[in-house]
Formats: sequence, structure tokens, C-alpha cells
Amino acid sequence: MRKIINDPDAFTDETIEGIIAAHPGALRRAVAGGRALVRADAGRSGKVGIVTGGGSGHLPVFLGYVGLGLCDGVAVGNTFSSPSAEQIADATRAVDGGAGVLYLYGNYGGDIYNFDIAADLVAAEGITTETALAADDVASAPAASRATRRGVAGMIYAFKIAGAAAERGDDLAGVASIARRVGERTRTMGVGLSPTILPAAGEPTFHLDEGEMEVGIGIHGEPGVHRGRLETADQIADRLVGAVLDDLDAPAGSTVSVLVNGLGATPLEELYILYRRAARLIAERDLSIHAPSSATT
Amino acid sequence: MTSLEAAGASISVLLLDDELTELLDAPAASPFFRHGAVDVLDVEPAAGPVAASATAAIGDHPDAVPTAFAERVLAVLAVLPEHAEELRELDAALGDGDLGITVAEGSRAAGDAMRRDPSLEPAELLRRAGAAFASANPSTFAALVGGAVVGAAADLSGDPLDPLVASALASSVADRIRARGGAEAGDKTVVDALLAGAGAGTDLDAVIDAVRRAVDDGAERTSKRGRAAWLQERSVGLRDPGMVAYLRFLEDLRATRTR
Repeated sequence: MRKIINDPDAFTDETIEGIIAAHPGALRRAVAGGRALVRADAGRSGKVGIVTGGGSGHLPVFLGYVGLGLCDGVAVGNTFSSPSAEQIADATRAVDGGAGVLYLYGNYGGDIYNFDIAADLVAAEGITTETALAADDVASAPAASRATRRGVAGMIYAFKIAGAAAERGDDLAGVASIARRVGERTRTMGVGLSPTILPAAGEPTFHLDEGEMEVGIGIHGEPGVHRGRLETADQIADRLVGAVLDDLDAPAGSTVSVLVNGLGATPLEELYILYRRAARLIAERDLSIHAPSSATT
Repeated sequence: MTSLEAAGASISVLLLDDELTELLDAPAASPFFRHGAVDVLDVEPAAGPVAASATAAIGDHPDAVPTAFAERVLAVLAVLPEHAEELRELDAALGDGDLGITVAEGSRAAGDAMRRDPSLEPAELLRRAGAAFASANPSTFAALVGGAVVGAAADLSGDPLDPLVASALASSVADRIRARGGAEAGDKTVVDALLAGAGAGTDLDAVIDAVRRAVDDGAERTSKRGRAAWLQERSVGLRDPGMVAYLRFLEDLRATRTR
């Protein structure tokens, strides 16, 4: 394991300490020493709050999308592990401005369990919550059981768009409905070229031989639908865009937004080589791309 | 969105409409993301965050004489972390590889919670141990198993050192995991191991044999729940790490009997 860390068990807490130290005017902790972070101006009266959360190890998701026109708070779990219900409840209390709070996060069992418990905790204190889940990974389940899919990079669209809806003053039902609409219209698929090492575990989560790739990989290194020879960027784009567009079934002539996302170690150069082919494939399907498209890591 | 230092990429497509386009184009800013003409929020840092929510530690009696039940369970919890590496490996093949940490940290936290007053009734000790297990390293397994133990503790009558009570406790935990997590018998989860053990009577050797058979039978089927289900037919041939965790728990329980 080659990581720039101190105590592996302090990985998440030291990450949070660094981010708070770097951005004291933008983010603050909901309670002292806690893993719930909120916008520095959280709790604005009358505005619907949005709380997200999940394991650490996914930056800029989740806490990177806490800000103006985005989410209001986040609960941060250990690496790839759900935050606790109490952390989620702490974030909820800090962001509630009387208009209710939307829970917006990825479709993972542990997260759902803990967000549901948090909703019960704050309901007893008079805070109304709604839940919208991201479930955009087409590789994790067939279309017939779309609701069981895991949430991956497409959730960034939900953060951005639901965040804008809350900022313009929509009520809780409206913000939740927009978030769900984004979920219904977003599809993602990924490919993995090398594994992840959890700091506290010290071992790769899976093994890939030289020249192999995992097609349909999840964001925690979950195996995908197929392992095979590493292909060219164009062949990979053909696979991913093909699967995503077949599943989305967008009517000809419609407009889409495209997000090419890196899993951490893949450079922007390679992401733009993917984008180059993806843009061509999308045009061939008689769809137009809304600018600006973004390639992020 | 990243996965630590993993190499790879994903492509997402969002089908827009007029309203979604307008909201996508609206300004936004965070320390990690900026779009449009808006600055990152920069307010005067709050005078200090509100006080941490206190977890009451009143009524602790760590020096109280432990019950036989507490001694036995504490002995098992002390050795369970030794299986962390095996469970991590099994879980890495089927899921995200955090089960070793979940079981190790959960066992330590459950033991700490019980030691605050090891003289308490088994039901109260189980309740504390379950709650500690659930929150030590929060994950689906921790939440489902810890939450189920908390719930089953409320219905406990008798001392689980009595094999009949222990068997009923295992059934009760299985029922609660099924209710909350949706797993059914045959889905290749820890529920299968709990049910196999509970159905094997009151002799611990027979229970362990039944659970071991359930683990091996399960390995021949596909996983139907949790991250492992995403592997679909590729999960065939792999033992379920949650089932193995319960098997190791029972084996450790037997080992502490003969000490």
C-alpha cells in the first residue's frame, strides 16, 4: 500500500479536518468533532434543505457538493461505509430552516437503513423529510429491476439540479419530485482498470491482471458484468455509451447532458479521449449535447 | 466521483427537458465545484459549533461481577477480530471488502459496551452490544445485524446460555433481518446461516455442522441480496462472507466452552 496517510484509522477524520481548515467560510461541522458537515450559512429560514451522505473515499462526492445551489449538508461515513443515523440526524437538524429536508443519496442498503432511522429521529422533533435515491448504474441490474440499481456518478446531476430547485424556492415536494425526475432520466456505466485499497484494510479490493479490465464496475470496486482484455478508448466508449443509450431510450431529436467521470487515478487526458468518441456516438443517435459538458474526476 | 486511487472511468447521460436544462445552468459554487457567475460561500466562521451530543455514561459499573453470559460472550468477542482477514478476502470477492473491518470493529465496540456493566441482565447486555455493533463501522451488515440484535433483545426471555433460548434468539435475529433487509431464506445471506443453525436443535456441535453445510450449499447458488447480488451468476462458487462470519462466531463459542 502506497498512500500518503498517517494512522489508517484516522483517514476519514483527518480528511475532514483538512477540508474544514482549508474552507472555513464555506463549510462547518454541525456538532463539535462530528462527521456531519453543513454549509457555513446552513439553516436559512424557509429554504428546503438537502442532506446527502455516504462513505468517504469518493471525493468530490459527497461533501464536495455541499455549497450554494447544491446540497446543504452531508454525513460522512468511514471509507466506503455508511454514515451513522446520528450523524445524518445532526446534519438534518443543522440545515432545516422550517421547510423540510430532502435526503438525496445513492441506492445502498446501509445508507438507506441509516437515513431511514435518521428520518425517524428527526420526525420526532418536528422536521419533515423526503427521500430520493440515485440508482443510475445500468450494469448493476437489468432494466426490469431498475429500482435496485446502485447509485454512481450520475447522482451529481441530482445534486446540481435539485440544489438549484431548492435555491429558487421550490417546496419540499417540488424539490423531491425534481430530484426523482433527474434520477429517472440519468444512466451511467463504468469500466475499472485497477483496484482500490481501503486504508484500514491495506489490501486491494480485487485483482486485475495486466491488460485486463472490469466492465460495469461499481464505485466501491464491486465486480461488474464482464471481465476481459483492456480495449482502446473508442471500444470502451462504444460499450459504455451503447449500454447507457440503449437503456435510456431517449427519443430522437432530444437534448442530453454528458458526464465523463474518472475513478481517481485516470487522467483527464484519457477522459477527454473517451468524451471525443462519446460525443460522436451521441450525435449518430440524432441526439444533441447541451453545453457545457463537463469531464471531471 | 472517485473510488480512491482506482483507475477507470464512467460515462453518464442525462435526458434533459426545458426545466432541467434551466436548473442545470443555474449558478452553483462549493469548494470543489463551480458553475456560472457565483462565488464560493465565504461567511464569517461561526463562533464555534454547538456542543457535541453527549452519550450518557452514567450508571457504569465496569468492576461489577460479570454474569456467566457476559463472560462467555466477551470471550467470543475478544477472538472474533482474528477472522477479519478471512472475512475481508471473502467480502472483497463478492462485495466491497469491508466486512472484516465491520466484524472486528463491531466486536470490539460490542465488548466495550458490555464491559461498562457486565453484571446486567442478558437482554440489556445484548441491547447494548447490538447498538454498539451497528454504529462501530456503519454498513449494511452492521446495521441489519446490530439492529436485529437490539430488537431481539427486547423479546428475550431467559438466559441465552440455555440452548433453547439461544436457538429462539437466532430465529428472532433472522426474522428481524428479513423484515428490515428484505432477505428471504435461500437468498445466500447470513439469514440462511441463522435459520440453518436454529433448525438444527440445541446441540452446539450439530448446530455448527448445519451452519457449515448451509455455507457450502450457499456457495453453489447465486447471491440475491446486497452488493453480492450485483455479481449475478458470477457469485456462484463463492462462500457468503456474512454466513461465514456467523459460522466463525459459533465455532468461537464452542471453543470458549471447552476452555
